[in-house]
Amino acid sequence: MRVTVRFFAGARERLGLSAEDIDLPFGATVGELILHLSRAHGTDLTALPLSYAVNGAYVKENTILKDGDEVGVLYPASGG
Amino acid sequence: MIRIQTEDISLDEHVQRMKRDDCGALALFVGTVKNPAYGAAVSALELEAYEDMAYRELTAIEHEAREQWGLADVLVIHRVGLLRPGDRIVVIIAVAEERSAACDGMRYILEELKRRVPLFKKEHTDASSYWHGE
Repeated sequence: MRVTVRFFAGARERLGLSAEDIDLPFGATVGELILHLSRAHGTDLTALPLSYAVNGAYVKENTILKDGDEVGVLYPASGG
Repeated sequence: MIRIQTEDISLDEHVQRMKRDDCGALALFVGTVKNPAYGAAVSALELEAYEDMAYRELTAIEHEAREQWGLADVLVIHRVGLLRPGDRIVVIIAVAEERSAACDGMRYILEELKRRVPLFKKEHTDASSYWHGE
């Protein structure tokens, strides 16, 4: 399956990209996606203060992804 | 009205437009870039949004506030881009029949915006640059 990952704030800067399409095995979780990205980019994303969204809703790392999902890799909300 | 924009926000324009004869209260919040922040001199503040999700969250917050406090009208405008000390970051307006509803509703929108809307700040100081949360 394929998901689109969008990176924001420190995650975007650390990886040097805003978005990426990633192929994953069916049943992969958000946490597994982050480990995959860390290995692929040689950057330990788990060391960053990340939170996650799938299709615009906050989720936890154990959320199972589906084909076509958009995953947001976010920093803590700090608007206002 | 909910908007995320790079341009400055006109207070007069929005206050005049949102005043209503059938409402006795208009609560206004203006958030600005402060300097210094956390003991360091701030040269700039960079703001970034996950816009699709931010609009969705702000719309949900507006509906919650309208329902809970019976607000007659709501405005939230948040800026993105590179801002300087003193620049406006966010303007929130809540209009209601009574002052308590307007003030409490406005405060709810502000606190929920800070807690759950995917907007991100990078502070540029004389000493360093860092994203909030790092």
